[in-house]
Amino acid sequence: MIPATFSHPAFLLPALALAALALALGAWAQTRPGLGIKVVGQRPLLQGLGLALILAGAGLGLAEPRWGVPEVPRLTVRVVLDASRSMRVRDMPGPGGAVTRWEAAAALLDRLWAQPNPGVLFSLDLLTGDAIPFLPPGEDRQLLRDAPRAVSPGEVGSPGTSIGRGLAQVAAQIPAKTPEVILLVSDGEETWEAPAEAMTRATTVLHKGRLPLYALCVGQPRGDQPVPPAAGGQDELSFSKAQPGFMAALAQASGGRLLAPGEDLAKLFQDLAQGRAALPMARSRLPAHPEAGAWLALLGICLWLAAAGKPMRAWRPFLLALVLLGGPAPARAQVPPSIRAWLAKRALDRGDLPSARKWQPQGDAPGHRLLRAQIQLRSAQPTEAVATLAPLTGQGAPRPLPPWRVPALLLAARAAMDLDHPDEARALLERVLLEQPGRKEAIHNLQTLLKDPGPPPPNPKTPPPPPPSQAAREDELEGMKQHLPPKPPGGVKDL
Amino acid sequence: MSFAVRYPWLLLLILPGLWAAARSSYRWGIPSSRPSGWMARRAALVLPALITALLVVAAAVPERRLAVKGRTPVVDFAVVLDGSSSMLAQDGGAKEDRWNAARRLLRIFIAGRPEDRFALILFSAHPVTLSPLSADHLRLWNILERLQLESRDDGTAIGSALMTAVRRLAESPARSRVILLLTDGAQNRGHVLPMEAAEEARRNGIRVHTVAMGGNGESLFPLEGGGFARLKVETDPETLKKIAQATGGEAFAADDPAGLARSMAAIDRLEKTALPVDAPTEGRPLSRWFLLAAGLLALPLALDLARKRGRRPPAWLAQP
Repeated sequence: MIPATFSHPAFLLPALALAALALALGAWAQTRPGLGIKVVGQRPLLQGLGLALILAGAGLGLAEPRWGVPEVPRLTVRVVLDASRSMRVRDMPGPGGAVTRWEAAAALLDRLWAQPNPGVLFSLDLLTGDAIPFLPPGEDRQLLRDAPRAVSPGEVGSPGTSIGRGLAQVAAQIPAKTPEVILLVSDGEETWEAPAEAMTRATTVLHKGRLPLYALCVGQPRGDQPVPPAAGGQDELSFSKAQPGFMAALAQASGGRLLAPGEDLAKLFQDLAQGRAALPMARSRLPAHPEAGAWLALLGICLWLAAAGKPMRAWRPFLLALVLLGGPAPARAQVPPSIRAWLAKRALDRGDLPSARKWQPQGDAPGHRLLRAQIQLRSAQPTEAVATLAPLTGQGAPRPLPPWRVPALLLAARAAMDLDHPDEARALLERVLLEQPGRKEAIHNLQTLLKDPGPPPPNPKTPPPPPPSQAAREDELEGMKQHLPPKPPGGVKDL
Repeated sequence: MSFAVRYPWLLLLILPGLWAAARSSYRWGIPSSRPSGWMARRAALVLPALITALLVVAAAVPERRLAVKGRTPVVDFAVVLDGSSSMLAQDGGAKEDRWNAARRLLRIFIAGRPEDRFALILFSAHPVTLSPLSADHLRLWNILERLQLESRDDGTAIGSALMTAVRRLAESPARSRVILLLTDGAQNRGHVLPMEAAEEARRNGIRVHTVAMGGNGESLFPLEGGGFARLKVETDPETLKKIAQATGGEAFAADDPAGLARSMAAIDRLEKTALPVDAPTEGRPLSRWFLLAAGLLALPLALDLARKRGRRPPAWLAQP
């Protein structure tokens, strides 16, 4: 859970100053002798306190504190992939020996795009001497995985690598208030300008656009490595060294960070999309809660009305009750769990996930836990769902089997699948079948999980020819290659 | 866009709040030097009630609900546009060539379907995906606006382009998936036959509507040095018809830009959905305006404290 932040924090200080002024005026008036309190029953100190609360509450509400989870989780990740010549250096460890920086970067992105990333859109720009927009934002994982295969590093776009200019060009295409981040995959080598200038150029734009940069460095920082020439090319001999320090400084200056080589990128982006990790406020989709300030101000007006004159004396208990009972949080807390569960179920049935989350029952009753887990699964929170279901899915099955046991195991299996733990899901489904043999959902899910192909045909036919979609894919890769701007004649522009 | 209230039952507090505020005996200043004009008396009565009402409304959180586009697509389109050099031809005496007419009418088509997602595929000898499925119509509009005919390798690979479109739509969760193929030629490049791609589309439940651009006769082609030449482009309307028939789509023929406009309008009508899906919405609270008004109205009350007296007068002063 990230701490509450404010949409418009500039309102807080003036409101606090005005509140302090009202309180000081009330305290000052209280010390001055007069007939007011005797004649009409006004109590300036309490009135001052009430007005201070009204003004502070108004300021708090105007500042719009934000917390909770986004109603519709989403994020766009602008992937900027270095396609300069230095990415051909073979200094990255691979499964069968050293691989090039480009191969390592492509494999890393392929792992990211091989798994579903619900709510996260990816675009792809290539970084050379300029940024080349390659794929606009989308969810088409097949296209994203194919795209790097159409590129040969060092053979597209302008020569060299300009991180400063390239990032500025990418940032210029990004709308101002959408939830977006940049993922830079590069060796961090800047060849167009001095690193300090590139840093200033990039951070100025990223800071202004409130765009956090997550950087992933490929390549070894120790020792200059020779850059292999292109196949059949006449490139001059040059050397390259990865610059993780430069990338780390760049990322930190923009509010992002340098990612560790084995870090789970999908989880990072899911956390950002679902509000579990912080985005800059201008790009955040955390819900705003101005009612917090409004309730503080309402408390203030009640206090002020109670101290405004004698005729209000009879109303004081009512106003006090209003303050104690009226707040949305206490009101919600006082709704019995069964009614909360009913409201949550109704909301879930009609597909209103925000309301379902709002009313989800907090009790330990098995039915409530099941409903809560269902809501968490629908909200793409499988880890929380597993924790919720843990007391219901223990190894010891009570006898006779309670009605909640099998649904709990089925939901836990689904959560395990969402978490990409197929073995766990399989074990849970097998437990369902042990405890209630013949349960249809469990059999179906287990079959799906095991992808049971059924008995082989008696006379296996000859394998079918490669599908035409494979040929279309090759045609499309060729189309992508032709669509990229070719490298102009001339060498790399070095400092 | 719609409006909603986050805690609607809180609005019930307005009436008791107004009643409580109206019962208040608030008066400006102190009894000995109190403003007694009509305005002053009325303001002392109305101001607390107004602030109470504004704060109750702010606490109930009225909000604008804005739809998040592209999350529940009903119809996903893959637009497959021919980018071969023959698209520069002008038909039927029209001043607009096929390429510009197709781009203009596609922009109109996209603008007329704000709820749907579109993928854009351009092809000549090879297909290229200009945009994966996207609900960002402004970006699609801009891509079409800036699109140039600059193929390095001329030709017409209808089969590969169709198959690419099928791949773009393969994972789409939309209720209806449609390919819109606009071409003026016959297949002469590519590794996939048009009917193979049509079969793949049929297997995936994707309809293909085809539009054959250009007539049977000769068309005007611009020459590099200026002027025009009369040439005839080889077309294959029969294959386009077969593709549409195989996939449950419709085949159209457009002899000129006006015919193309009619075809696009017909496709638009064909793909109207009777059962729209409500897109998920996101709330933007409007409480700030009510809080701002309440805060500003509270300021005179705060300043009035400067004239108040709170301590009881000493006994010697109170006694007559």
